[in-house]
Amino acid sequence: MSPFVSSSLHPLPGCRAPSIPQEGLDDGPDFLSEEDRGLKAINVDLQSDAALQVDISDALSERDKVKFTVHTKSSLPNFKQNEFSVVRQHEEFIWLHDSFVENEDYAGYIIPPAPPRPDFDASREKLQKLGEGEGSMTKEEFTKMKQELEAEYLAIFKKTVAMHEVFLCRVAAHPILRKDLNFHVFLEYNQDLSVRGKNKKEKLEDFFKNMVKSADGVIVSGVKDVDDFFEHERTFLLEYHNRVKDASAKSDRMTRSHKSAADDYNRIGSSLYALGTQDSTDICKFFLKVSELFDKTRKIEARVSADEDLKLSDLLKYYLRESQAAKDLLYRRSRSLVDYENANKALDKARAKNKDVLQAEMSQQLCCQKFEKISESAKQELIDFKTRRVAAFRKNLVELAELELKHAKGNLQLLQNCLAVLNGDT
Amino acid sequence: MAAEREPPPLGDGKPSDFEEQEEGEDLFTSTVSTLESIPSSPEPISLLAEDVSTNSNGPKPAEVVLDDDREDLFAEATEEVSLDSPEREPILSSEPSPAVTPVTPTTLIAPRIESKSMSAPVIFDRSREEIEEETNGDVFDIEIGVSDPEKVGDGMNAYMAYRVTTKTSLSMFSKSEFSVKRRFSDFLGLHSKLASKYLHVGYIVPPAPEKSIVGMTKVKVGKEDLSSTEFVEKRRAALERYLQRTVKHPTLLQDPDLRQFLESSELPRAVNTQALSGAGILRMVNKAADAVNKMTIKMNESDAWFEEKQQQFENLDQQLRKLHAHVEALVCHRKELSANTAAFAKSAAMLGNSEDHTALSRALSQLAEVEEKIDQLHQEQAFADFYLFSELLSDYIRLIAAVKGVFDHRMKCWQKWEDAQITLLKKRETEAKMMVANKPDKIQQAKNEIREWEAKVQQGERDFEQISKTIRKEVGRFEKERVKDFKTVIIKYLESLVQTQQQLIKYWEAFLPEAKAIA
Repeated sequence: MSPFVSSSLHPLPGCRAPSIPQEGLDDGPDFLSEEDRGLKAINVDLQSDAALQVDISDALSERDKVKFTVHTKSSLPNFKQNEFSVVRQHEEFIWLHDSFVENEDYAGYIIPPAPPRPDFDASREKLQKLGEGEGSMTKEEFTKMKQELEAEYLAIFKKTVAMHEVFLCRVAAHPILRKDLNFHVFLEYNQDLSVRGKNKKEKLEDFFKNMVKSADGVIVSGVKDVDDFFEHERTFLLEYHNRVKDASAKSDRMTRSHKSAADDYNRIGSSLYALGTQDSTDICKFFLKVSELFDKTRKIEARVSADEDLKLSDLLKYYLRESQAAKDLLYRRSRSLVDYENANKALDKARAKNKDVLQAEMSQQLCCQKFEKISESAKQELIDFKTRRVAAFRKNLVELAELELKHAKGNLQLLQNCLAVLNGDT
Repeated sequence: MAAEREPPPLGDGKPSDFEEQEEGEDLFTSTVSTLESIPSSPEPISLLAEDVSTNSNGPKPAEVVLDDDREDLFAEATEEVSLDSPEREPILSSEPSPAVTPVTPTTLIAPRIESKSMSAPVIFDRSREEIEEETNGDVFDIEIGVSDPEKVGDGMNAYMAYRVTTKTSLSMFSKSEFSVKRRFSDFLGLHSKLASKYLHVGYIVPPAPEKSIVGMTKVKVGKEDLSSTEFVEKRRAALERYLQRTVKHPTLLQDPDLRQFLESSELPRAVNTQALSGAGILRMVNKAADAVNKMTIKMNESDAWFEEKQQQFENLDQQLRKLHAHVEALVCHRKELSANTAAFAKSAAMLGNSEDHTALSRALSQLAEVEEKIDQLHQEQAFADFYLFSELLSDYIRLIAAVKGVFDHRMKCWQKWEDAQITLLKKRETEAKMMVANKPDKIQQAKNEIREWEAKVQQGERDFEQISKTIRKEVGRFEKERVKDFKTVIIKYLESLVQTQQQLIKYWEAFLPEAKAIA
């Protein structure tokens, strides 16, 4: 890789990012700290609990992996110390998530969705292209674009940190899951967990499992549920999940267009600057002022786009994953219902033949218990899910509106000031 | 000639009427004599280049214009009788050899002249003063609007007719407000006439909007969709800007072709503007020939000003093209943003429908409404991006091409002068040879030719100096206009951005309580 990439790909080696100086913009908490503060609670609205507090205190981005420093504070007796940190990678988070999913005991809970894999490829590619194209643009343009790309990289970085953190917090807040042994090992064991990523065979197994699940899902969903609550939840979740998926995709596209437009402002500002420095008439002052305006307004537009991404797109993406997890729960419950019904049938058959009746009875009892246990906890989980969802949407929509207002007012101020100066001059 | 005249007083607001009149008379008589030596050249060539050139850097442009054109008017009056330029025939044949009486400007003030033909020079005098007043006071009392595009006819012969409305208090027009119907080829015809008269003597004639076969075909075929309405609107706006620029030019405003275009209800169809006509093909051939010539002319530039200006325009051209490309990208992305916002709004509405928590459902529907309104906002902003900013830039890119063309004409003029000088030299050599060979009849012929070419050299030099002078003036005017134009339009554009932000604030302020109401 070109030296350019390696040297400037780590604008923030290993730290949670110093704040980017906001030239020209007077007020407002800077982009980063606002996000830091709010992010944990953004999508989940959790109560912080003295018994167990987990967060990601640091993160380091290396060539193709990210190392998260997971920091725990706990008063629980299970841990050797009250406060400690370990370094974890993405694969280890996935291992933890999968261990929950595969654990039969947790069948009745909504398993917090796994964080998506950190994806810096697009950003890295852009930085590399910029490095290659360095000769073909002016120094100002180059610096501007580099800053732009670095900010983008930073934003992606922060997002991935946040998503990993949210996962851990959800687990820590869940009354049952927080007691999980694997979770404690994850938090405490200060060496590499040696969880290799799934090899081909295992990935293929997963693939088949998913296929079976969706085929099953079709069969299972055909059975109308006796319980009204679950019947309603199922219809609701199916539709909701699809619509959230659609909304999330469209929101993504919208924020990306917004960002493209903001980037255009950047280039227009540079062109105007070039015009201003070269022109021979008195319009050069005018051009320079307008160029400055475009630079500043572009910063605001970029933040609008980033905030929309955070408060809207990310929110929708998260609830896409959560609603999938909720659907999975319903699936597991339906599965266990089918198992229960099959066990009943088997019992009847056994009684009819008078063979292995005891065994069939025990099996039926087990299925019944399992089913009832799942149903009970599922009900609670789904109610909680709704509460969480409403709270998260409320928080985010309010913050979105407030931020949009703040930026629009800032933009308006900028424009009006500039116009006053320009009109005064002419 | 130069000796007899006194240059108009420098630094004076207006030269005194009396002096002007004197000049007028003298000039008139002198023009007749120099007439034969001028090859078919259209009216505005000031035949008294040498006089004015003495004042080259001093007087205000308005003053000088006054002199030139005044003389021009008289020149024109006589010229048309003797000259034979084909383009001018259809228009000017109506004007008879005028009763050219140099009248004192004061007497012109009174009557509003009705019959145009008789008082052509009189009108010109009067309006020349008006124009001078107006350019000095920076008020140009003529407003042009292009509106009401209307489809006329059917099928492939259909065309769009535009209404051209003029509002003016200039007395050279018979009414103060009038309108006519014109089609696109009429505009092109006007431009081609003006270009053929004024371009090669150094006037920057604003270029007409470009043809678009695809766009027009869609309209002809009757596709009533968004893209063809947009196309018609784009063209209408471009035609309006074109006319506005043209009438702002003091010399062009005087042109009878322009007046006829604005005023007469019937205009002969300009067939020569069609791309595939004979004239069209001739144009293309000429363009190619010009391009080749440009490469071969190597001019000894004695005046650094021209070199500097050419370089400046070259730079400006490049910068404007870059900026234009970026603005076009912005228009494109904003349109994309608008479409994506609309899609998201629909999706959010659907999501709101399926949400079973009532308050949240309502809030999501509200969000969908807000986003829909914002989509409208983006669309309007994209219009402003385009019609204000982007079109300004593309207009100026074409204008600069016209400026470059004018510089090229100067080079050609110089070439002609050079060639004449070379030929003169050759003729002198021939004469010398004849003298040596002692052939009396050939000597006489040689002497005649020498005289002929001496005159041509003189004319060439005069033409060159005239065109240089005109260009300097024109460039000065162009730069002033450019600065004004850019400032006005960009300020308007920024105001559109302000409006967008104000609307955004309104929408989000209305939404905020809805979001907070989610319980």
